Amino acid sequence: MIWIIVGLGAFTILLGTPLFVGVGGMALALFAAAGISLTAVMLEMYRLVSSPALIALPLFAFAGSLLAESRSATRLVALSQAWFGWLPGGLAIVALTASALFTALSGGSGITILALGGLLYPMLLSDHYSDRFALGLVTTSGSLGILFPPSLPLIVYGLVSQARIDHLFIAGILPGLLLMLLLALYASIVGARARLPQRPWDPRVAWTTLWEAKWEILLLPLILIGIYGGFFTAGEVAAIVAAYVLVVEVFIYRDLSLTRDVPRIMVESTVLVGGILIILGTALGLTSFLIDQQVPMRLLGIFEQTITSRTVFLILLNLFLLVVGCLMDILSATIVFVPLILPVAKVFDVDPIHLGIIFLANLEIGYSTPPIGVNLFLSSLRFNKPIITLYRASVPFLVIYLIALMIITYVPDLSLILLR
Amino acid sequence: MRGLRRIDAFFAKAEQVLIVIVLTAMLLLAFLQVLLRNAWDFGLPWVDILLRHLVLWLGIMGASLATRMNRHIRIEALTRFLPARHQRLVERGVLLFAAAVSTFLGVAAVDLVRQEQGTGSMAFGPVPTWMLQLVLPVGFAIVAFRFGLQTILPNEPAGGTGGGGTDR
Repeated sequence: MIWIIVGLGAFTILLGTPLFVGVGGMALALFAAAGISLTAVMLEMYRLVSSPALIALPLFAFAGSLLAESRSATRLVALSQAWFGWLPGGLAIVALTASALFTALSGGSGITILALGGLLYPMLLSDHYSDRFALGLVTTSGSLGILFPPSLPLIVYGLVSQARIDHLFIAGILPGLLLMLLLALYASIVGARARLPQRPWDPRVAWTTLWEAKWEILLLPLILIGIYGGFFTAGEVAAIVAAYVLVVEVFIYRDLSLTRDVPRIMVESTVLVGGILIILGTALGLTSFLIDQQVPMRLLGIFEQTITSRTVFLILLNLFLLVVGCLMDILSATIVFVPLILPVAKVFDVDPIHLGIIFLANLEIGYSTPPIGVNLFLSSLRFNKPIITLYRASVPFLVIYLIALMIITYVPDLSLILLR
Repeated sequence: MRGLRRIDAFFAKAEQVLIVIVLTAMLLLAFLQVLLRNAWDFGLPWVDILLRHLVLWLGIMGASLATRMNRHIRIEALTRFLPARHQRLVERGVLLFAAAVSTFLGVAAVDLVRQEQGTGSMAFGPVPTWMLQLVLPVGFAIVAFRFGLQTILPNEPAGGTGGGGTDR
């Protein structure tokens, strides 16, 4: 019975039913079939209010939307250009750095391609990077900052898994840096081979761009020291960051008007949060039912012959998440699958924090994976290129992402060492 | 039909105003709480409870607006390969299904509020828990109404107030 209902629900979702409807429908049907009152579904949804870090979600989302609508993208690009433009493959590294900063601060993928891609892509072309390289770079780095705090996927993973969000923030730093380092290395090699022009290092420009972007750059130490130093919880940091960004963008940079822009952005970010929260709420009912029925463990039982060790489990997890990542966005995939995989991961002694980093690094790749990774479609729309061109452009970058994923998955210390 | 659309637009306006008020209150309260706790080592326990309920309120209102703007997260893996005419048919079926599920969720929410009323538990101070839960039945009722409306009157832009999409 469980399988029929889950199968039908999955089918409606693949037909384009809003995810929360598919998930909520499954939950209702499963509870009804088991003779449990449907009120239980709502009770589970209401359970959302018991997570202390819940407030981090709307506040960081609001701060992110403010940043995305301000001119911070331009400032971050100018800053990265002044500081990294002199390296071989400099402009490519600039693009990587600016994208990672912007994604982490604005909290979501997608926005980065739209906000930064339009700036970076013509810059890369005018510096004589090949069209394919430039497209691949801009497309795949649209999700690069997801492992850095305070990205929304890290927060949502924390809410779903009950892992400490401040620990997740710290755990993502080294894996995120590794990913950037590998991509930067590749860009340098491409840049050096093609003998692309390097800009001279100009300390004056470096200083003025830093000064220009100082209020936004200050966010990084604010978040890192606040959390790493143990001064604030994730929810408190969210309150500070949201208030800070509001003041900076409205009163200091004056990029946004308090009366014209801010209410609109509030509604905009709340629609985003609402879309996530309602899936989170309905999924709580569904996953708690499935876990109650021991479904993850039963699945594990079926595959007992195959999954003999932790390594096999991790390999299968990687493959599974690659497929899921192509189909679903990171947030919904996290909400739906983390609760089901968490108990199995415990059996194989995978640390929940490490599991979170694996999840996000893995799902992030799916964003740019042909045939239906969403970054490819965003880029195709934004730069007016056929989707096939983007498939080819993203391949070398995907290879690097996969190498990084292997290291992140099979070297848990990379994620956990800063927490010891 | 125009009456129904007008009701929909009225809800949207009310939701937008409420969202701005609630999010502003949340921002102020959360910031105040951080100040109190860190500067004076003194927190107001009811503020935390209220804040978490405000997130629920925001979430439901945001989800309701997302229904109007057709901005719910979806996975369209299969329909991409259908001809346009069939796509529209599937879309209608999907909307009808969504209206039905949302109605059931709304009914479950009414039950939840009734039960909570019965227990008489308090969220904080003079505020009973059920009052804070009211957003659930009301929200799902509006969501169901909107999915229903879109089933009857599809293919018209939901635009107007609030603007759909990040067009920058």
